[in-house]
Amino acid sequence: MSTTGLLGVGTRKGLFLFDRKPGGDWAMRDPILPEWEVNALLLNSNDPDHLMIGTSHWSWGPTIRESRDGGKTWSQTTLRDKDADGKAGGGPLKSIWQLVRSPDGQTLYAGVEEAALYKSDDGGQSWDEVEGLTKHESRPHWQPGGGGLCLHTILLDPTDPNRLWVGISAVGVFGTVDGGETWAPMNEGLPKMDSTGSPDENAMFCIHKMQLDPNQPGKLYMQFHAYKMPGDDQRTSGVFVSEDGAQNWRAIDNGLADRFGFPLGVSKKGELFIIPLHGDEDRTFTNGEAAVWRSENGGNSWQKTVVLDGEPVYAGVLRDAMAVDQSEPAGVYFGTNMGDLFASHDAGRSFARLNARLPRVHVVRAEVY
Amino acid sequence: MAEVTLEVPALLSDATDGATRLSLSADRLSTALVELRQRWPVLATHVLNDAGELRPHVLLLLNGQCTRWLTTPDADLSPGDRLTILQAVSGG
Repeated sequence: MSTTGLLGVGTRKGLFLFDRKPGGDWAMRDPILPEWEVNALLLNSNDPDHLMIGTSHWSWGPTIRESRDGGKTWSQTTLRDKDADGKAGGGPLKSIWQLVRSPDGQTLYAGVEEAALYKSDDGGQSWDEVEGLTKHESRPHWQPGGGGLCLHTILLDPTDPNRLWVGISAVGVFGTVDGGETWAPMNEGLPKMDSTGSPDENAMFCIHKMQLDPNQPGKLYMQFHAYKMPGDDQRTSGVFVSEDGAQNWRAIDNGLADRFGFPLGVSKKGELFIIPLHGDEDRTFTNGEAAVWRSENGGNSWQKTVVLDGEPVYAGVLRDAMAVDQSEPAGVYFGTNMGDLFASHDAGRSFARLNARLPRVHVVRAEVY
Repeated sequence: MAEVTLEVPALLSDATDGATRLSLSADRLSTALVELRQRWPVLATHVLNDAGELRPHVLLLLNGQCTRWLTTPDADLSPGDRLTILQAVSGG
């Protein structure tokens, strides 16, 4: 299909693809797999017809699906084989939360609920659990967040294939420098959260999303579950940066309307995009004002772009429901849990609503071709 | 061994190369599930949970009767028997 850009939207009921035509208009294709929840989506920057998705269904459970023809036909793989008794190893597999391809295209990773990391070296035909993570000594104390005990973020160091970071709710950050054999908690500087219920000081951090700075290996940004304990006057910080490979984190959320939120995006130029929500109680746009906040200086200061001026929107945005493409200026896209979809083609300075109202948006991904 | 038919919902046919009627050889329900796991592992993932049991909203019918209520859970199979995988009614 002729496209200069592809926008993929995984929802509560199926996958929706939008093609950007020469001239800039978006055209939506027919719904794909509308019977299935799409929780993870991986586009291929070299091939707009190559799609991988993590699907699940309340009756039929989760698998990974792949299409080589733009979603017309699909094949399925399971993350793990059942043994002779029909039992699968590892913890319960409830959902596929994240699919990531290594910069050289040779390795795939999948993050799942209950929290575990899987790796494939054959293009997703077979998968092996990265057991060094789930055998970490803190594992018995891992507690779920509101979305479950999910491994929702996988970051790969583009300069070192053995170095990666993962984010688990409501547990924290783990990093490895030996390709996954051993892992270390990396939460220094984040607010400890007794409210996770975990007794382990290495595993009580409800992180919502992390991204790498594309220009500075070892620089990471994070949207955290800013919270307020009974008796506290203020919510904790919610947006953080690490400049030493997640060894230490410091807050970068001065001036934000709210510190709570889920997604975080970074452009090719290093601009940051977040969508603050009103606290962890209602998780909707602050005062019903749909807005994206942008920082051009690494979080030292933030500028607000109101997305729907004058129209109250009491919706939220889930952690993977925002994407930033590789254009300059960057394209920024997000979908709400009420199914509205917005796009910016000027690095977040203005947004337009796409002409579609979809099911609850779980994941948004975008590529330019 | 009895040759039996396994009927699969169209929704799961991309786990069976497009087929919604399969044939398998088994003498009991339990051995039919073993063959299902071996020959169609992706289908088995959709039908069985991690413990190897039917998922909560999945039914397996034997000649139209729900196997959960059979007086002999691991029933004998006869040639021509029909096993049907079905999504349980899951509305409000």
